[in-house]
Amino acid sequence: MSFPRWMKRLLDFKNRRALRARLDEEMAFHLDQLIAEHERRGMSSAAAKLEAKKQMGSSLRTQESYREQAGLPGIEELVRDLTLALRNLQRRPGYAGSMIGLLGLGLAASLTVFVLTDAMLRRDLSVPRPDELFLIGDEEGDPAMISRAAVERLAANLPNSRIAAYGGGNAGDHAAWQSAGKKRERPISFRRRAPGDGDWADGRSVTLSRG
Amino acid sequence: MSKATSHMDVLQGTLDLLVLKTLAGLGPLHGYGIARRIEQVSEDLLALNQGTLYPALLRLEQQGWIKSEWGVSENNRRARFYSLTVTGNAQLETEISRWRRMSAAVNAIIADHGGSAGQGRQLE
Repeated sequence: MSFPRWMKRLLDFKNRRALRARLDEEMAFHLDQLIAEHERRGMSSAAAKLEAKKQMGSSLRTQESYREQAGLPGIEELVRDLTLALRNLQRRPGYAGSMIGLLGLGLAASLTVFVLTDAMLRRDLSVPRPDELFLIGDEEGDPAMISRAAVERLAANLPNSRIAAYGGGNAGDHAAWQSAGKKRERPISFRRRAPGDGDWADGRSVTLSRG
Repeated sequence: MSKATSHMDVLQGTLDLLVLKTLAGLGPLHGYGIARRIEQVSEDLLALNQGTLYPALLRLEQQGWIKSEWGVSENNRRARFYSLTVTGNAQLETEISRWRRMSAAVNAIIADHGGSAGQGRQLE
């Protein structure tokens, strides 16, 4: 929905009572016109009314459909649900209090577990700006064989960077590079380290950091 | 077949086009006038359901394609008159183009006698 249309619907929602009154008047006019037309065609007054009402169909359905178009059904439903919930809370305060207490306990337990997990497992790496670690790889972004000399040359070309850790293994030399927005040297590529890349200091990677 | 049973409901998605075209042709009209005009032009083949007309008019107004104001009808009754806006005029062209493409596609499928029958035999 476009912004002007949304604004118009919001305005209509504010004026929904006036809109409903407008619909009632329009439908009454429509019905009267139909009755008059049937009477002009020779029907009796009673038959004309009956036929016109049949043609108009269910006014309740029309009003419901119009109400949905004139208002914001989602918001109205939310307000209705909240009102109902508040009424229920007032009606059974003991039950409501115990439910709120249980909910509070659950939230507190979840928060505690999160804080502990965060402190123990998600601690920051011991380099400045640990969120800027980059993995050095080949052109496709996969880990590449890179010698320590190559890594040192790269570090020398990037000011304010240094090797924080380096290791080599059978799987090849990997390097993690910490530096934002630096020019890429072909054929080596950089990509931001993802959680699936494993431990940054597992003995098989190189980590460069600033400072 | 009786006249009553020969009435057809307006196809889904075509009501906007019918309303916009009617207002473009006749100028400001009230809801009853729009419904009657569509029925007259279609020679009473299309029957407009009032349950869909008024919400549709409000929707078109919210979209900015039509506007409305109170006026006096031919029999001196207060009535809401709808008229086309500049945006609505442009939208009418879009709706006409869409309908022509759709009806051409359906006609092409109806006119295609051989292809589907042959395919059916192959599948058997």
